[in-house]
Amino acid sequence: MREKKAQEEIVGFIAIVLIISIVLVIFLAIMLRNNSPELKESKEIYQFLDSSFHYTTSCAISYEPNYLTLSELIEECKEGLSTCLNEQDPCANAQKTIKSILEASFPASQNNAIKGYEFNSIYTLSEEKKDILNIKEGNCSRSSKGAEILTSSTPGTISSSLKLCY
Amino acid sequence: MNSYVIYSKAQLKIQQMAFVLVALMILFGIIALLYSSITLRSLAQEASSLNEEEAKEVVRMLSSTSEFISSNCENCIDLDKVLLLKYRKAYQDFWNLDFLRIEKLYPESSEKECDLSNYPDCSTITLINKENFGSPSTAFVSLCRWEGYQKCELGRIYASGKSLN
Repeated sequence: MREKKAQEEIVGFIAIVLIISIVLVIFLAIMLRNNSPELKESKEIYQFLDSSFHYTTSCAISYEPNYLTLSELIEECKEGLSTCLNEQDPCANAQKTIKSILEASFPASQNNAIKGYEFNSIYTLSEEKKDILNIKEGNCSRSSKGAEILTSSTPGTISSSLKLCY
Repeated sequence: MNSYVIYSKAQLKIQQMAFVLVALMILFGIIALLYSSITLRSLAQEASSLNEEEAKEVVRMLSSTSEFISSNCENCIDLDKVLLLKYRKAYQDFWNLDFLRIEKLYPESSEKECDLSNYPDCSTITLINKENFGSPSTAFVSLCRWEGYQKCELGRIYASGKSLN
């Protein structure tokens, strides 16, 4: 009789431990979900993209000094029909310019707050999508901030996005 | 003389149950406190980052004012105009700011304050620099100047003052 009573007590104790464990597991799950990598919209990055796209590049197509802005150069890269008067390829020029601007503005390394970045330019026409530029540097596995800017490129749109990883 | 209180079995069981319930309540209370403190902390962080973004937006709006704007593009600063403003003392209190600086980011040039003798081979133009201006808000802008054609570069505008807080 005494043994049975002790068994009942142990069953009760186990039940309580189980309830507490379940509650803790749920709590931990909520916490871990919040810590998963996330992308936040950033006005600063939008301002950066907007200002960078006005940058005057060294590429002129028709005559000098009618130099293209960075956004016009990306559009020229997408067309793929012309070469700059200084015989540079518009895509190579755009790639080099964006990389240099990013390095000057957001130096990325393991010792800095910014661990890496990712820049993408994609041309979209209804369902059709075409990659124009893709620049990646450093490690982008953790949380990040980003923004996207749309520029018209008749008959479609060029969507350029930048993601900074921390 | 010693007195004894005799508890019945049922009373002991109720007491035991009450202790367990109190322990559970305390546990749930601690968990709820922990969760709410974490949530409140993340809310506070979000509020401060929103404030920061708003300040950046206000600073950037400065570049659209007629004193700064370049005629050919929106949100572009006319650097030639800004250099001339530097020498107009009347503009010191015009924006009600304690600090206002424009810095060239790319292409990189020698780290010098611009004046009429070294422009454009310089990196910053400081329009207002009062004492104890605190930590300035900053925004990316496009810096344009005339070189026989409109040439735009990438820069930052820094501003600080009570009107921005």
